Amino acid sequence: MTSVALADTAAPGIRRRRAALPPTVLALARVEGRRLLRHPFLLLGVALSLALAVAGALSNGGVQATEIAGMGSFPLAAGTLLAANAAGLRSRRDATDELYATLPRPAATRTAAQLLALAWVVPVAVALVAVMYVAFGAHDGLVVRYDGRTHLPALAELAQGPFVVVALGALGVLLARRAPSPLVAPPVVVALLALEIPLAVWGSPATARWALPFVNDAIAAPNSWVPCEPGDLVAHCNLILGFDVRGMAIHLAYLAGAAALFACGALLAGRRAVVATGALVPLLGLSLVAAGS
Amino acid sequence: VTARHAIALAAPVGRSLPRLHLAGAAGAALLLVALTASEPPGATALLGLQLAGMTLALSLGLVLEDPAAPTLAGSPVGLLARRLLTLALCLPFLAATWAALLMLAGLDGTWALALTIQVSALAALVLALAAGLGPRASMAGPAVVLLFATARLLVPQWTLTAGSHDAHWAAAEVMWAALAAAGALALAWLSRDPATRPLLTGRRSPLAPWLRARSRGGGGRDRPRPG
Repeated sequence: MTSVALADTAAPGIRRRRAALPPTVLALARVEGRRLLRHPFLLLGVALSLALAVAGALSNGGVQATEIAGMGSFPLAAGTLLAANAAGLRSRRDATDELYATLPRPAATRTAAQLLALAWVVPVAVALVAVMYVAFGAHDGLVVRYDGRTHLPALAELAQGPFVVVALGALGVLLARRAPSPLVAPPVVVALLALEIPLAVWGSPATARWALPFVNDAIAAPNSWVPCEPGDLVAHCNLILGFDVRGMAIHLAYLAGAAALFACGALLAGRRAVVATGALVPLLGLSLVAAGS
Repeated sequence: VTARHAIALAAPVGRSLPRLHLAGAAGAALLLVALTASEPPGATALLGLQLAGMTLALSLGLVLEDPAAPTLAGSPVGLLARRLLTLALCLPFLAATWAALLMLAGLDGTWALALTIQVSALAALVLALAAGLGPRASMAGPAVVLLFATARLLVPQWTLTAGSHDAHWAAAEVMWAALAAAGALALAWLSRDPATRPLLTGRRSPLAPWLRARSRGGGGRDRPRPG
């Protein structure tokens, strides 16, 4: 009789689950962060980013400027997206969703922990940029023109890689929550590549490039093929006129807003999700307009 | 395995294929090519076609994922025969989709041949990796996507982007053909029936004591799987 009475009083408590508390989220985030760092996709991304850095060290200053300002972190960011997505799909893959549903904490707790676990990847992304900075000798300035003009990478340019890693990681968690299938995230990487190559790698001046995660802020003279560095004979580089560092700084705000939007999309539902989206989307639009102007 | 076995198995194997995923990949590839196609085909159209091929190859990763593999391991139809039947059922669909993509993009013969070799290599690599990963076969496609994306950024001239006038073109074609052959051989090697692998499981194998200990539950602790 006593047990029945206890069960009756406990039932409303189970229905009204408490909100995710920081200690629980932090404890889970520590576990998720360690697993994320050991995930094969993330390790593969690190290895491939290091390969890009080695190749960049043997290349010209224009390529080095593009890589250190973000593109060198592309494999790491894509690996983080895939690893975070796999982490979000783990309970579904291992058929433990029903078991987790019996726990006192809601699913949002685990999602919050997976989002927080992305902080574990930030030191890796920063270390990667530091490796590129040293390997390219960027402290003396990168020779970006055949007349010997150099460019010292700005902080906003160096920060793009780590910002994109976090934003794409949050996108991976969002996809796992809202489109729980292992075949969703890989085509997103393919689509990203399909957009990044023409708009960022080929140095397109189109305003739409600011909507992508990785942006090439080099301002190039249209249809100008020149030797890359002093002493070169073959013309296969764009004539770089300057770097849009202001646009890049605004782009960082755009990336932070995008990461917040993805996190809200993964965590919130119903009216609160609509309110958060309604607040963040205009801000993202404004930052796009500001970066492109 | 006789033709009678193959016919009898075709329907159940066909039902077990991830048909929705294959159709989704084909749809995404068609959309990608339709969005990037131009007349005459430019660099963006070629990139779109290359990545569409990558999308098709990516979908093959799930084809070899077989949750019933431990149960079917004891059946008279061997692993190689089961995998051949699976591929015989899904590869024609993907090949027809690729042919449609080539027609939609309107490429000439040189480009069509080169990109077909490349897509075959990517598909063979995904299948070989999926066969090697076993229950984690779904990781094969994304891993090959990561590798190809980096190669496209790192060594674009070796990923068939410049055209036949490029100095690396012929060598790159040979490299992709070699990768296709290596992937196919690795797939065949990894599809041998587990019961006929004396190197690993036979009494003379150096790994045999360790494998026996593991099968008794005494060989190493259960490690958490990645993911």
